[in-house]
Amino acid sequence: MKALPGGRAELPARTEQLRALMVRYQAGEARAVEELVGRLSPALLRFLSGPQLQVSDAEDILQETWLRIHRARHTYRPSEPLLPWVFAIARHAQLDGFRRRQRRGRHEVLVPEVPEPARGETGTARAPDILRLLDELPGSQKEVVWMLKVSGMSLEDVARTLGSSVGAIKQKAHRAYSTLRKRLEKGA
Amino acid sequence: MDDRQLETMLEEQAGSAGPISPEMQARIAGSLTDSLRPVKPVSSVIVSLLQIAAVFAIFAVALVAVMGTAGLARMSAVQLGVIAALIVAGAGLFSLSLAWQMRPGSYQFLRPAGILGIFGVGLLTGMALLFPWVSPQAFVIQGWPCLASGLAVAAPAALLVWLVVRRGAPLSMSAWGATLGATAGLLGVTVLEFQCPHQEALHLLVWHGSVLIITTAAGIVIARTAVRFFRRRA
Repeated sequence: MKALPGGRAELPARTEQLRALMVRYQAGEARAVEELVGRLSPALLRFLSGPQLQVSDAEDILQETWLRIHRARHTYRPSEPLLPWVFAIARHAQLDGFRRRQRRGRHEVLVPEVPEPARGETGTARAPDILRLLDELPGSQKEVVWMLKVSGMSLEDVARTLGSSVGAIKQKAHRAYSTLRKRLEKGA
Repeated sequence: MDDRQLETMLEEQAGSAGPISPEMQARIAGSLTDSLRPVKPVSSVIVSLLQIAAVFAIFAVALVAVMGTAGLARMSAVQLGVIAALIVAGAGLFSLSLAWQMRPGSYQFLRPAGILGIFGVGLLTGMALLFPWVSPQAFVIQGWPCLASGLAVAAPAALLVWLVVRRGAPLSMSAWGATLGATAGLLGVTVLEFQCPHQEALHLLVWHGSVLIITTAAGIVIARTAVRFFRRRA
């Protein structure tokens, strides 16, 4: 079972296979569920993992996302692209998770504890910088760059996921790039 | 630094996530396969749009036939044309928005809040500009029956529209409730426009407009309450 690759160029090649798996999932085939979970989960976890999110929280949201996908599986139409459908559900599970953590935070006394990082430490020497800078972008810009470059989605897929237009996504990506470039150059 | 270098740095992050344990994958797949059964995909956006619009049209025609058309005689051709065009546009936009919201990841040209805002402002502006501003006589006594009739029409209309869209999986329940409520409210306004003999700007804005505002707000409240209720039960 090969996981969905992270690189943008490799994604379109797998789109048809994913779509076929989803159709088999809708038909009630257990093997297709296992394969789909195996292929999509790494990309979903990457998308769900915010820089300040603990691994356990990201994994909880991943499980919640799959439950929502399961409950909404009849709303996927095989003629439509699969990734925007999946990531739109994931995004809302992430937002609900964020609200839940905020509510929980209001009722809990925090103890000093170093959070376990959600991502592996396998990036380049500049990786922590780019992640930190990415995290400092306005919410909508960060989301667009994350989906385009880290989750490897197309402009149209991101537009569908966020319920926006391709033009608006391009504009947000352009602004985010300009900001990131300026901040990186400033820090270099 | 150029865009290419920046993109490379970002794409490097794509491979930096830790792998998911096979146990976790098995746990997720297991929880899904436990309740796995074949499902039939929902119909296309255009089919859902036509279904919702058809329910709206049939229900509106039936109610106008029962409640009468006293308002028609009080309207000029221009007033009738513009109000009818606004109602048709609103019904079409709300139906489209509901059809989009039924399916996560739909390519939405306009967000639900935008559709509600544009239509609400358009309808109220049309009412304010097209109809005469006369000093109200028995403003409340003439008005509240309109509000009550509009809301009485909207309640079963909301139920009917919900029956059509209930298979959907909306991501934002507030937007879903607001659009459903607004669709039902618009049906109430439609019936009132045909039936009400008081075709004056202030009456229309306050008593007919209130139907749309109240049903939209009620839709949001009901949707949020339902979410809280089901969250607690889960």
